[in-house]
Amino acid sequence: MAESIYLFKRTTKILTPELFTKMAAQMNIKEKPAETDEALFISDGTRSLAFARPCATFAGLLFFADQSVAWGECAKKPVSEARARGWAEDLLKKFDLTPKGGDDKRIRLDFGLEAFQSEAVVFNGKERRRVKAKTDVMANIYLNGVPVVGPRGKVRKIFKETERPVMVHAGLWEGLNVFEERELVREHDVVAAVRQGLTRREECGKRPYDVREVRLVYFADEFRGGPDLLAPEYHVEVELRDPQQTGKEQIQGPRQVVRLRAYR
Amino acid sequence: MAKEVGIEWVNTYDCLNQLTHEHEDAGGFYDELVNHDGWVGSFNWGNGAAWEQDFKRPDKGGTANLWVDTAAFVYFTGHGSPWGFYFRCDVPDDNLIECDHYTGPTNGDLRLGNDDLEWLALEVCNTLQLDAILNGTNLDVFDRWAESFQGMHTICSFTTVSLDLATPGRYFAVYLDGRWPLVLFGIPEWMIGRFPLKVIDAWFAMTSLVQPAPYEAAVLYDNTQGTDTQNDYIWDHGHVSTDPRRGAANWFSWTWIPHAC
Repeated sequence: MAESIYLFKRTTKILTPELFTKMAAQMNIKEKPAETDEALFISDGTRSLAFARPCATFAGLLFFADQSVAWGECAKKPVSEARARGWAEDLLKKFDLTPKGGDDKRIRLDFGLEAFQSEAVVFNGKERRRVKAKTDVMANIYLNGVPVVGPRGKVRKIFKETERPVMVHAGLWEGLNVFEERELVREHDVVAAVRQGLTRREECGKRPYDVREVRLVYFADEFRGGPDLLAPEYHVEVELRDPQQTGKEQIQGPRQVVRLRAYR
Repeated sequence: MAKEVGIEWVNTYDCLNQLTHEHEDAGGFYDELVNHDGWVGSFNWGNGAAWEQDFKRPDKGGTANLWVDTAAFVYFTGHGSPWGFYFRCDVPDDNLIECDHYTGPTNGDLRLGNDDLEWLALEVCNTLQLDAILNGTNLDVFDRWAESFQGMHTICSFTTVSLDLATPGRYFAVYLDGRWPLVLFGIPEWMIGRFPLKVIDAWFAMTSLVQPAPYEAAVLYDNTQGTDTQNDYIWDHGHVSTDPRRGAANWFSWTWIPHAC
């Protein structure tokens, strides 16, 4: 019997201007927000915060940018992972932004934040020096064990030397319902379809590429009207043999990710 | 100051697998800057009209001095690898803009910034991967690309694969010219104005917006005494560093910094 998978319908949080203004104050912005049907926005010229309301293209996306610090500059002493993660968790809890799975037993949502310090490498013409450049926070989100990815299914925050982030991208939902139960396309069939698509007529039987990885994900894409769905898809990474390669050594060739719908 | 933008893109590869959205991707970057930010569109070459020669240095038979190095910002999208980025096989000069050490220690094709180019965005896979093995030797990102910087400020690209999407170019451009509150969120410009991001910040913001985990973007920028390319905005939207020139001071450095999408 074929395995099945759920498609979920998501609902977006309704954020009031009052709550949004409080959130902005948390980011050190003490201005009045601009408001349209689609979004809330507030800025002091250096720091800007925006939230996309339901039915906007990026419905549910909270974005913050602080231009007082260059994100690509190596921080002298990036804030610790624990403090960055703590700040990020507090923000989500305080403003009730953490995604919910609801009471439906068919929905198992796992959500957690992880923090890590990213290293830059600086080269002076002679030596390479690894330096801690920033502290990153990202969310791991799983629905029934399948990772959720995409612009409206992630949390990304960059911290430099203080506990306040310089960038926040939080694309989350407030509620989820099961929309449909569909047949899951088998990984084997997906790989076969990709192989068939990449096979060249003149090279029948030869494979000038390798399938490196197959990932099943829920892709939280832009909202384009209709039901706001979280639907599963496969990301198949293939590597084409380096076309310049003449020797026996196998070297890394150009890679590509093929996206395929994961349900029938 | 040359507020000129150029793009090249390839969908219809003849020697590699075809791509789908590269014309929309690069076209979105070009259209945003030309139609909404007063940039001059220098060139928009796609598929068979996108030539490797346009990026290649003149002393290797290329015409970068007539094309890529005449614009301030150039955006390429197509296939990439640690060794470079790819064109069709039937275009001049060949199909790969190769890095240094690929066919010879100093045989890389890119030597940019002698004229106008400040920023090069390569919306391709793996070009800024930190390490890559060739003939049993690790060639890191500096071995491969440091010599490309001849006054150029920044290369924006990826260390991993990235999805073939229609929107990265446009979204990158709206973060650069400050129209992102309108284009991404729907707040009219007349209500609030524009809020441009620095070039590197815009790349990080865009890659987080459109590319899923676990993919990783990166930038490579250079500096010397008196320059601060990490603080660059695009022209007319804030500070732009002077060009980092080798030999202008007793130090010169390149910085590679990754960004988890």
